[in-house]
Amino acid sequence: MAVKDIYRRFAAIVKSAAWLGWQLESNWADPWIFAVITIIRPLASLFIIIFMFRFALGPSASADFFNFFFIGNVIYLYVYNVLFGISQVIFEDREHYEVIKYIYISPVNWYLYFIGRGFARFIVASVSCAVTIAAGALFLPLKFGMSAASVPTFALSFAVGLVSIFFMGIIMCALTLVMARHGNMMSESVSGIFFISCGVIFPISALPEWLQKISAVIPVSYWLEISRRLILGTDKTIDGVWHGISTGALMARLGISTVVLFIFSILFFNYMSMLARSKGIIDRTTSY
Amino acid sequence: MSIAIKTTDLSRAFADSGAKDKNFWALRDVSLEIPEGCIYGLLGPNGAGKTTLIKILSTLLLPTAGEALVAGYNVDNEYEKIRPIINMVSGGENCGYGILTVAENLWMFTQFYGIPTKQAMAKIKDLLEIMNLSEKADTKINKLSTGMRQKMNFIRGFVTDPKILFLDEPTLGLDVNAARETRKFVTDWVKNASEPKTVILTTHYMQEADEMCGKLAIIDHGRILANDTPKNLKKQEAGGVSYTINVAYRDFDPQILRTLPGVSSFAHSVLNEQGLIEMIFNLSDDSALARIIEKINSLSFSINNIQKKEFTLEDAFIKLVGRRLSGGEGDTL
Amino acid sequence: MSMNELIKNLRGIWARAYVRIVGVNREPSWLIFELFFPLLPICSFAFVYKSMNAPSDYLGFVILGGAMTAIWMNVLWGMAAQFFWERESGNLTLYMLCPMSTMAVLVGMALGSGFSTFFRVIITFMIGKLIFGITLHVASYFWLFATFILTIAAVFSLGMMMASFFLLYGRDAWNILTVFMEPVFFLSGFYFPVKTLGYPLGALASLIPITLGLDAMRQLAFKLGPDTAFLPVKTEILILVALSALYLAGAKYLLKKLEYIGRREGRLTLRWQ
Repeated sequence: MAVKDIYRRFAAIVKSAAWLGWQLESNWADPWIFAVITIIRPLASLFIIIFMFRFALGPSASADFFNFFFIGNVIYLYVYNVLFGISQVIFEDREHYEVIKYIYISPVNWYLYFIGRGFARFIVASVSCAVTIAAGALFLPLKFGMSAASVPTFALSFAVGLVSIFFMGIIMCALTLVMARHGNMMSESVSGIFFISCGVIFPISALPEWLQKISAVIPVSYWLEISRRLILGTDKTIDGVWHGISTGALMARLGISTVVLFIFSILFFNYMSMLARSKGIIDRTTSY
Repeated sequence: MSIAIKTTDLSRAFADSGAKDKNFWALRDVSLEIPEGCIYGLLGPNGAGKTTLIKILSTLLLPTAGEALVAGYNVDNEYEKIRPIINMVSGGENCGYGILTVAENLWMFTQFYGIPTKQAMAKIKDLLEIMNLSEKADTKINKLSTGMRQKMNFIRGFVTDPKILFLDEPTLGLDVNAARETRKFVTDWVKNASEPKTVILTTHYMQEADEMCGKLAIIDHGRILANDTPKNLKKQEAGGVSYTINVAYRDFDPQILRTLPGVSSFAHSVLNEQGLIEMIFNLSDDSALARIIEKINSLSFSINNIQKKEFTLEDAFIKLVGRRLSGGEGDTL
Repeated sequence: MSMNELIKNLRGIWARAYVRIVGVNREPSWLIFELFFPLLPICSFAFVYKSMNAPSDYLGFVILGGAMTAIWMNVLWGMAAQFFWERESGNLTLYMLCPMSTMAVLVGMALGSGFSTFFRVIITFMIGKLIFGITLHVASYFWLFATFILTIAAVFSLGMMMASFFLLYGRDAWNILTVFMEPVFFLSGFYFPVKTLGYPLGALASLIPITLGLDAMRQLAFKLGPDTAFLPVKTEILILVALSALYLAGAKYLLKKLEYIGRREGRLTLRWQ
């Protein structure tokens, strides 16, 4: 098959899955209600941290702390949305719409299908991100310091970071293939992993050492630190674990950990898929 | 005999999303009286309004107009008095929780009706035996085949011992044997009950309706087209009796039989290969047959074959609805 | 309600709770999704205070808030939104047919999840004690327990009100329910005392029973609790009593009213909304 044909076929899968994802995501409400609900949750998350700072430190809270958790939160919007969007695909298709068996037996490429389905959440995350940044710049002491020279590096880290989230989404999908539906706990679960291990709202140096080692293998940890440095325009970081490590070295680590994650996600998904088939639970429903 | 269900000019409209400000009438002016202690059938094609009627009677849907009484209670505002004495089984639908076993699921539903556990378990055991499902009592329902799940759903309808039971296509998806067992079970349940039990059965299957129902209504486009015993429906709606007579065709003019008294309709065709002419008579009564035979004999022709055609419910249905139950344009008469 | 009705409803509650209890036993993956993962954000918020060298009682505030998250999530997703799944699986129709109160079904769901929720609360406190070194200074065990029970009662009643909307709506109600996640964690002060919000916003947030419940429990369980009090404990308890009664009556009314509308509009049995 010619490269052009392959590209066309792949593009068609991604396009139709993205269309489906967007329909499922957004067609339940008036666009304005959808927009408000999309924005209100990340803003509330942001305010939780702001008020925690306000409560603990009062007016003495430093700008460094604020910038640290603010950028962490903004990047985390993508982590949360894309990962949550992809990880819900199995539950939605299996338990709600009961179409998973038809998709499973079709010759669709699962990876492309997941990319498409996650795309709707990427758009949601981008809107939330824009609103959060606007709120930070207008009402909060957020200071940008990104130079024009940093933009390509930032764009590259952003793209690799997103891809890594996508692979993590595949791992979550693999897990959900063999698991019962547990209410809406997936969102909590997804939040939990990154909140605690990647330095989203507090420095990784505050974690016990064994947890710091786990942080070092998750690409998001690097993505967050690189983004902080480039957006604020400084290598000065309040997180002790990154002292003495250059942005280039962080980029390399981000790339390597993403490749490792890619390989692992393929192996893990194939294994779990086989396990689900052997247990006969591909199309089971939970409802209890 | 007391009346189990009575509807008067019952209508139900749904907003038609395809057309603005237009309603789609799923039921229109349905007036029925269903006596206690019988199996009453609702026979009609897809979208005829059968399930809508069942939903209204089982308190899941309100009528747009008209009145429906179940055991003398109004479905509109006395539904709390109706629910303890009814139950419903929809064929082809799942019920219960995959994580529970068959017996646990059935027990759970009995609890919602306030039946003490000991009594409920004894009843469940009996019903599982009758329906040949005892072996699966301790199997989780997510491990059951579709047919078995349906059997369990069917048992769920009976386990609370309702006075009035709604069976919406109960044999849908069941194999021949299971469907037969199911029909026999329902018939015996009504026949052998110590107090009158009423079953409202919707079905696609003519044979099922004919075999099980003491009375039935043919419904299409939300309207009741006929309402009688299957025997009367066959007789009345199909137009009496029908005979096929074959005669050697040389010089025979079949038109002379058309005007004989008692012949309500007549058609003939020539079977060239056999050298016969085949005539189909619809007669208002059997006595007209003697006149036809006499006439043929008087003309010195010999009758090769006479066959009486038994009218089926399907003939009645076709006459009333204008198409076969299976639908399709090719079936339109 | 007659004695027969009461017994019928109690049987119904037990039967529906049984499904969850058995589910927990037969589907061990809940340990990961409902216990392990949800503990992680709670620990994260505790680490935020730790990274700021805040007093250990502040970490305790987070731990208590985190424990209450389990209850709030149970009410939101295990009770209110469960009707969404019941509708999809066809069980909602059967519940409506049963001669049992819809409230009994909902209470059964919530109580059925009680075991896993209680387990999560206990583990949260153990983590607070073992990892973050939280120390409780309980002023009155009786009032602490009473506040906890009252908060649960009010939150369950609110959950039943929310559940009633699932008799009419499907995915739209589900999505709107997600607004009761982070925004409620923020408004109710799950991770910081509600006093920090200021009185006008705090008063508005008090409509969510967990706000005052948490504030009262923090006052009763931690040394620094009274310093961050929004209202006196007694006032908060009185308001919680009023909210419980109000929401219970509201739930009863809404469940009946929305069931009626559902029957009228033919939406009780509508799937894939």
